[in-house]
Amino acid sequence: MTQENNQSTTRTLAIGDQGTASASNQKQTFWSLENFLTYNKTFNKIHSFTGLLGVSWQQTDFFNIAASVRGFATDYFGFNNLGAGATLPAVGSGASSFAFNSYFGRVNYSLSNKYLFTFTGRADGSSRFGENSKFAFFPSGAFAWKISEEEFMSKNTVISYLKLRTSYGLTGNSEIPSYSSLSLLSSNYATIYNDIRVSGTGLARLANPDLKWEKTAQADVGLEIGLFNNRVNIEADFYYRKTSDMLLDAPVPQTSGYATIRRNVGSMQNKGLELAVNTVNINTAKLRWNTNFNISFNQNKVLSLATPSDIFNVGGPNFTNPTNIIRIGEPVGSFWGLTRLGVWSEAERDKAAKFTSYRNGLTILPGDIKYLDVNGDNAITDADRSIIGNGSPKFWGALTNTWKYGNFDLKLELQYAYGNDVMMMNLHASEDRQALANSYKSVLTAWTPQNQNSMIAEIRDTRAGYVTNVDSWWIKDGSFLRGRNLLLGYTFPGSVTDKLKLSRLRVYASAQNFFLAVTDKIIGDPEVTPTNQGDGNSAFSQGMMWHNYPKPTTYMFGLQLAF
Amino acid sequence: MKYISNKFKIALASVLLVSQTSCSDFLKENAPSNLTPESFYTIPDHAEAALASVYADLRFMGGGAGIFSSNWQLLEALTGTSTTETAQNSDLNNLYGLVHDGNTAHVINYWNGLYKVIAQANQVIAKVPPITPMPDAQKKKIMGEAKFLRASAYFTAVRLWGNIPLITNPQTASSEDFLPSRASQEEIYKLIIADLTEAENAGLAWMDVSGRVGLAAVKAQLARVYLTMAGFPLSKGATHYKLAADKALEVITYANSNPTTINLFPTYLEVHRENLKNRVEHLFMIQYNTLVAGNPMGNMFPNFKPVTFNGPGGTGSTVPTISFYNSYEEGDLRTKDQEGYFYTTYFTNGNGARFNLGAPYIFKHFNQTSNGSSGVAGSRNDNLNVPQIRYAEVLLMFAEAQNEVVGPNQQAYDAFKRIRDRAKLTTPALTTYTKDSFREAVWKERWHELCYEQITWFDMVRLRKVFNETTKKFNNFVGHVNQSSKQALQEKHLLLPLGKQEMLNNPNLKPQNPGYPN
Repeated sequence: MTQENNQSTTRTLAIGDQGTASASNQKQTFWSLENFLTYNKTFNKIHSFTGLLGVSWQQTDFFNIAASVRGFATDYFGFNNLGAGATLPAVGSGASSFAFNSYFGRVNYSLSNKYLFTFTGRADGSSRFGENSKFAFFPSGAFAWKISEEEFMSKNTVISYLKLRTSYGLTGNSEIPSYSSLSLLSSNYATIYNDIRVSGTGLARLANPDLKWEKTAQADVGLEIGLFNNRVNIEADFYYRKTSDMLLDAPVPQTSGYATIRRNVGSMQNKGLELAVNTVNINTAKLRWNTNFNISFNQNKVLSLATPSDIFNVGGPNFTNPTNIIRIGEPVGSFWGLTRLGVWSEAERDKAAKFTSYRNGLTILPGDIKYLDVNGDNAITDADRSIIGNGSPKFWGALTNTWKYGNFDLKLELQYAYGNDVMMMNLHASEDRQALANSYKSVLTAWTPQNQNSMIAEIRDTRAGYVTNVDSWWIKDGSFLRGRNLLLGYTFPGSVTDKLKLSRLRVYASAQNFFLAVTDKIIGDPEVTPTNQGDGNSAFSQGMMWHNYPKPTTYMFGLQLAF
Repeated sequence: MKYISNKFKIALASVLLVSQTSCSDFLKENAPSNLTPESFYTIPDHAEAALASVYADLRFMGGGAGIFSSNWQLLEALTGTSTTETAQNSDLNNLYGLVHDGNTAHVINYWNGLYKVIAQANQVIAKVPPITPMPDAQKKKIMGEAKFLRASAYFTAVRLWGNIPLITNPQTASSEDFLPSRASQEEIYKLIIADLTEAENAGLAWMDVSGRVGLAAVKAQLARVYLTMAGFPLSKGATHYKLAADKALEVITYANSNPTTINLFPTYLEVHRENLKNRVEHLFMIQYNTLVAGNPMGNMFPNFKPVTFNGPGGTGSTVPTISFYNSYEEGDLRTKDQEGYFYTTYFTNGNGARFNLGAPYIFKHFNQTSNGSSGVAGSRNDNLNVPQIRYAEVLLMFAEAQNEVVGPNQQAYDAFKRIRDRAKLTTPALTTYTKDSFREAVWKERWHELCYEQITWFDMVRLRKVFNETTKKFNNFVGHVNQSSKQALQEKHLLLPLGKQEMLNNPNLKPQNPGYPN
């Protein structure tokens, strides 16, 4: 697979640089080799065995090359002639690869097709782990009982299908960058002698030969129920997951010259319930109406940390105070900050003035942001910070209805989440820095002597100074209900298709993401993609909104033809 | 495959499984874009590349510390000689307000930056000696430079935090001192002096215009170290004033016989002229060039006033306090618009019509070549270096130390007077000075000559005195009110707090420096 990314900026846009252009190319090569043996045997007609043994190898290689340059005499070339650029030419290339090697086996045993047993075991090896811990063993076992197959259920007219299943097993996670366990030098240092660039080679990564697989042990109990001849299907699962040896680029004492080491930092638990209900509400020749509802609950908690202390440097873009914390007993990546009570009022002038200034050494005045001073020392310090939210929802899911009436079909898909906080980092630039950056229109409700009941500081001259801290005002309730899809289709009857010599002709129109209802004043979309993607730490930045693009609403008209 | 017997199938499978498991190297990692410490450091070029990374990391001081702020502002904001025209950065605000703590970004970044320099230097110091074959002179020079850089980083750190971890070897996660405890300041200074002494004997040329460290810089740094040791907190007194005076005099003696190599620049403009980097008055500088990184002192530009080709883009997060600007003597050339260390007018967008700025700003780090000057468009590439040691400071160190040893003699007076002569100030006759009045006169000259070069804070700490801009006398450190924030300095401010995250990651650092929350 190859991927190209070429860009150029015209001279009129990049005035200072006289135009810029860059080109990059990434190549990804993947191969795998899998061998397995299966063995089937049935004894006495009721004992059915399936056995499987396998081994697999996989490898992925990456290579990228990039070049950029500035200073063009013309916009004509775009990115098609980098050699025509005059200033700051830069080139770079990089390569990496990773490999997996697995040995696995599985035994299925079924007794009378009512009692089903599965045992699996796999030894997975990943190149990304330390010399001493490439491989880990992941066993699992499952049992299912098709109760509805039993004699005593055969006369039951209400319950048409009933299955109880339970499982316990270990799974592994190796989603970290390659070479995370090695001691590496970087040759991308550069200094200057005689006004000439001189490249240097120095410290890059601290070795961790003990780096090993992150493991999750999961216990699950599930029930599948079919009622009224399977007109109603219910599937429910309770689970408990304990993840140990969590992988994180964890901070180390910087007296070592290094900032982090990739290590197994601790353990956390997830427990929850997943429920899905499918119903056929109406099923006639003319009209058919199906409903599909699902809901998931999950609770997350950090159980232990290899560093006895909290871990802060996770989650946000980290240009301001820490945004997230990993703390024992709390959900991972909880939001961390001050509590904004509002804005100091005229009546509180004397009280505000007692505070050690947190605005440019100037006396705190009515119109300044008022924070909760937890320890009452009349200074806003780290002691006043606490956990102020969490990006994970309490529950989430979807509700889908489909109707088929004659030749028409209609589908309505709703998606929801409840109880997830969003940290709107955007407010740092778009509310707190009123006179320096473009602001949201919410600053029109900023504090004034006439409007003292505001959460937004008074708009002042830039030199008066503003206050910006990660605080509870940036935390919004991200609960939402989204119209994910509305689709109306019409299938032409056989009389029409026959004439056209088609086997099928359907037209449809759909609107995706056609509405979004939120409970709090969120500008943008509460369903945000984690900020720090790609470095393996994104799990710790749920709900971090930092100038994300909102999801588009898409309208589609379609025509389906089959011959 | 039906005709193959079961037995044969099993046998075939076994062969497949067993033969392939033997490829245990399949999961072995070799990073194609990175070297490893085991495969590097074998030829002299590797030693040069390793040293270059130490020099490269000196630029941490210009790194960002959140919005509208750079790390070096740590050493300016605390002095009270500068203030800000914006208050976007809460960490910087806390420094100005003297309410910084273990979460203040600048404090953390300085610790991390200095120990990174130390770690890079330790790597050179450990890995270069075994390289063979390698010319002795080259090896000695590289070791000398690395030791100077390590000593300088420790010197900054020990003055900021007091007792600090002493790490002299490359680290792995299993190193004994990976979670180090704090060594006494005496031990830190012992290493600093040993390192600088080795650098002094490494065969370095007096001056190296390429930007690498030269002998003059090493001797000047030694003079600084001795002068600091003579004062607080070690209070070594007379012996170390003598050492400082002697070391400074070595540089002065060389300069006097080689005035084209080491000297004061005749004008202040030359102090910040791009084409005079690493020469004459500039004994050592941190190297900047937009090929790698542009000059990092941009936060000294006025807040949104169009003084450069870039239009109204400055932040003004380090600007002089009016009281400090007004504390210069009447007629001091250093306060003269665009001729001294300040400017009060400039040319619109760097080279247009002159306009009044309404306040003084710092001209010392202003690059007219890149920003533009009267009628001349700027080159747009700010390649100005950041001065670390100027000859002017050597003269003032000598004057101060010599006065402590023998009182205000002619030699000390001459050194002191040269600084004032350049400022077009008349200096009272030598006979009018007592030891005490000369001491304060030199201190005051240091404040006025070396301001905004990340030196003043260290003077405040070693002297436990602060220049009072109104009385022109010196206050005790504790109780002095910084004119930028009107906040009083306290005993605890003599040391910085240790970074909170660092203390969490290394329990052996406890206790926190006095007066700061844990």
